[in-house]
Amino acid sequence: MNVLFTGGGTGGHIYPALAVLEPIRRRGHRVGFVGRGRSREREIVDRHNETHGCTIPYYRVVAVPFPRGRNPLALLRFLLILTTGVLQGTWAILRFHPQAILGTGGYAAAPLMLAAIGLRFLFLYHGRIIVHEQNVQPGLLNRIIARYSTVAAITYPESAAALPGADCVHTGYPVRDEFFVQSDRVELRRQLELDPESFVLLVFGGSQGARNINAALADILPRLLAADIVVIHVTGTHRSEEYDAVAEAERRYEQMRGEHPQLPWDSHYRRHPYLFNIADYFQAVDLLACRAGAGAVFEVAATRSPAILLPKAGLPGDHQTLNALSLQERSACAVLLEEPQLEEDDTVATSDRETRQLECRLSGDRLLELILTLKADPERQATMRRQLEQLVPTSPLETLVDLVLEDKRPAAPPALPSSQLLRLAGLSAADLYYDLENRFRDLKFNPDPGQREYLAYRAGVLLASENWWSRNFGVKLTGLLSAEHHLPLLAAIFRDRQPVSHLQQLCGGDYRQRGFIRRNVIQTLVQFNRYQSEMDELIFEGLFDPYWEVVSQSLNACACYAKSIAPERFFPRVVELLEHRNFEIVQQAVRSFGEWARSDQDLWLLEKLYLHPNPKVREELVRTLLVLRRRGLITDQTRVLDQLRFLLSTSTHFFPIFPLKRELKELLNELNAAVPPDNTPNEQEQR
Amino acid sequence: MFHLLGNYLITVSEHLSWLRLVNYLTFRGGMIALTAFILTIWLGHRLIIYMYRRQWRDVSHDLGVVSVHDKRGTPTMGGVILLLSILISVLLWGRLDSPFLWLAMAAFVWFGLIGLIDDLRKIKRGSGKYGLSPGTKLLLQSLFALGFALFLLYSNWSPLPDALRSQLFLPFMKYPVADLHAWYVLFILFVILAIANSVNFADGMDGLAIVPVSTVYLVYAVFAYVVGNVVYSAYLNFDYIPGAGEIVVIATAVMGAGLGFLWYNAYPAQVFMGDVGSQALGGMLATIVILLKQEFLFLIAGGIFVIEGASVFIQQKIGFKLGRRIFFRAPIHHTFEYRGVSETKVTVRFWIVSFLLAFLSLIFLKVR
Repeated sequence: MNVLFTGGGTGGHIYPALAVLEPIRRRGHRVGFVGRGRSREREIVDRHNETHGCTIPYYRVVAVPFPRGRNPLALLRFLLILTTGVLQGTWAILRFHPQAILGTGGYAAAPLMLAAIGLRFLFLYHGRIIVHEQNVQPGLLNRIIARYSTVAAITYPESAAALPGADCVHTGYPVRDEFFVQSDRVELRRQLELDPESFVLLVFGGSQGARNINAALADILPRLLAADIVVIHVTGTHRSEEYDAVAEAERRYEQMRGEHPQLPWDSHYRRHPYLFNIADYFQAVDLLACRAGAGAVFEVAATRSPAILLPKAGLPGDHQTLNALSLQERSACAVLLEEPQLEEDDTVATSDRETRQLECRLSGDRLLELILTLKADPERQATMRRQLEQLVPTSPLETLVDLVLEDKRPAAPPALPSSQLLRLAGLSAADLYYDLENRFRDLKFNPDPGQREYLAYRAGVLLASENWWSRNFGVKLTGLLSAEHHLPLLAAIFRDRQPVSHLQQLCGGDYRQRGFIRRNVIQTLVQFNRYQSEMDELIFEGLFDPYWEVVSQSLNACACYAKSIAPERFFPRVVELLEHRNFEIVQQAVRSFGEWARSDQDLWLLEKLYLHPNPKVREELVRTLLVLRRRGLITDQTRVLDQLRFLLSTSTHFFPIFPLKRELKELLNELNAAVPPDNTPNEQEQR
Repeated sequence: MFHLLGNYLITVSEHLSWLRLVNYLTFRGGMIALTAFILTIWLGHRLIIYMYRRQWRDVSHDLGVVSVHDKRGTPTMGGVILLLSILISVLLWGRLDSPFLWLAMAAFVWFGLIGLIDDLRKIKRGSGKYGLSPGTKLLLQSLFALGFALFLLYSNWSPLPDALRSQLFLPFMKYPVADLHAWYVLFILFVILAIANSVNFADGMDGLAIVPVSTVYLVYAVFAYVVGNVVYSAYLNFDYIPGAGEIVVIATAVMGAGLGFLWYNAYPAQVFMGDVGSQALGGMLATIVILLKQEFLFLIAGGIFVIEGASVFIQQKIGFKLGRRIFFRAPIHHTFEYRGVSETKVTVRFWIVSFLLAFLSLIFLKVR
């Protein structure tokens, strides 16, 4: 039988294809691989050829990722390259004569998959087309292709909801077989020279190394050792200009060893850049802490090891987080999310602290807490093992090979409700915000606590992003969700005074945390709708901000929280702002003034506004006088009446009233009241 | 059509010799304005009712958004009225052998179609968000601009005299300041895109776009009359462009139709111009500006549009980079509205400014 494989773009799509390819090749079938020339997939296939002593026929195609954004030229270029790629893919199929094609996703798989679909449509290809999706959140290509494929093999049962029109089969992730071989633990420990009695923790950041995991571990290492835990630390081999995983780990280790010489370093801590027999270690240890990529998650599941998953934040579709949460929902593992952190370090100079950027990091303290609770709870470990076994009962690789070679399908997976989270997680920052805003406005959406927690987490990740536009949406999302626990982060963003480039300053820019961000921070405080004493300082600082919208929003916040804020410090500034050039600031200042004025004497501070050129300011003035009157502050009625004669009361600002629409609205209200809300007549008309 | 018919009838009978009137620009200009006005009034009423019947309306046809205070739900594609009445009256009164007329009409129809597609998409999908993307719009506009520029500069049928084609004129200078050669293509591209889009921005309040557009057409009608006339152009030191006078007929048609449109569009509007109207009027204006070699005059005559376009550019491009508002709102007419000047007043003030700018532009007939 001839089988053609494709997949690529990133490593995560290539390894599963090769994992399935190898056993099929060994059974004597003819296999081929389609990918780009000079690329990750070419490298990996070449290495596979070397290690296995074989030559897999390799067909080259051209491919580029789908351009995000709406640039028509980029789209044109994409279409041209795609067309060329599809022609190359067609050529590969016609020459190779495959009976089955397996595509594991990634944009490099697009040419062959589209060619296969096209050829089958023209009755020139009669074989099967199989799509394999590794993550909970299907990639763009697989979402399109799955509909036309013979069968879509999915790793998580939830993905079926995101692949409409596809024939979904739950196979799992093709983990190499050695993970499934259940060896004797005592024997394994002896081989690996581990004490059979002690509690062993393996921390593993993936082959590329994970800076955040290494940093978090370094923070808690002495405490782990003090708790008599044996730590095996795989640092990863990542090396770049600003970060060298091996050297950094070495440095931290020496430092800590100096600080805590009394701890059993030699017996309880091992460090490796990379482990070749990782499967053995997975089975030998008591607890794993690792990333939540599709591969890692299934390797954990295959070995049934209790694990703490540490998903990387901010990846496309947020797939690591969703993978981890999906397992957590089944109590199959524990999850610790990366969250934006503030340094509590007092040694950092004040000036540095003002300019530092929020970053998503793992909290070492919480990791330690999780490890210790899991260590003390064998019951929970057993549950995890049980749940993992249920999730991956047999080797997914076998299942997939059977599916590819013989179209033998595994038993149907348990049906799960479609997850709204899955869709939301796939949206970009802006789309996510507008989507939620619409739902909240229409009151169609009432997220359950789990969803709310995830969304608040997402907002936090956005707050720490590089691009100011995303940070801005993070702030807005925080307000929308009333995620009050982000208040310290908002404060840090608001106080970040790192200036922008000189050119931008010349045009009127100020700080890296742009005017819009600062304005939205203050707006978010108002949206929280519950006063907290930390807000006080922020709002006060806002009154002196260089950007006018921040000042006016701060005044608005003053008016909203007027009852809770102590006015002594604020009031003089508000009075000062009554003379501001910007009408919007004056307007808001008048409002706060009305809330805070103490005595009859204060009233005459408003005198000069009676002839203010802007009608909106005078409107606010009259409204404020009414407020003051109701507060009983207007004692000298005759004097106010006397002054009101000099109020510039002609206005250029008015609202028209359309009587026809008024009547129509009344009629509609009556009619709608009689019809159940989901079934309004106009909606039916539209369909 | 009437031009051909009149000239034919003169040869038929001596009693019809008064029909030689059709050879005079002033007569045809006046008649076309009246025709366009009457057509607009006659068509407008019917088209508004038709658009209601087809539910071609603003925002959405949702009854849930009926508001006592605003005009949501008004039909948007009023530009179709302008498009039809101007096309018909130009076909009736224009000299159909004039290349100026055909170039201007080509721009009118091309840009009108871009706007029509945009509007229809918005209506079909029930929201302003889903029109043509800005990139696609620019691409379609540049396609025309490029073709027009190449035709004007390099084709044998170009209506401009060879010596003038790539020369750059300034309003208060007698002689061309520079010969741009092939760079003139880029210049034309920029002028067309800038003018067409800035007219589009100005279309945001009742009557805000149509009156300033009409005054700009008025200014260019006067310039076209002078430039296309041997005697006047010599007297006022303009370079004579033979045949350019036909632009007078087109410009007056727009003014007539514009008044007719204002009839319905005046506050509170019964119909909005939509992209159909603003694109078509803007695109044609841009080609006329280039055909008369008075590109820089637009900075004065069309000052309203320049400010509208500039405010949007500054707010969206520069302001976005800086992450702040530079104006209260953009386009600039919304700033005034935000500051508490009502829509009607902003509109009338913009009209006043547009008339002042028109007077100022006419000064440059002599000051040069």
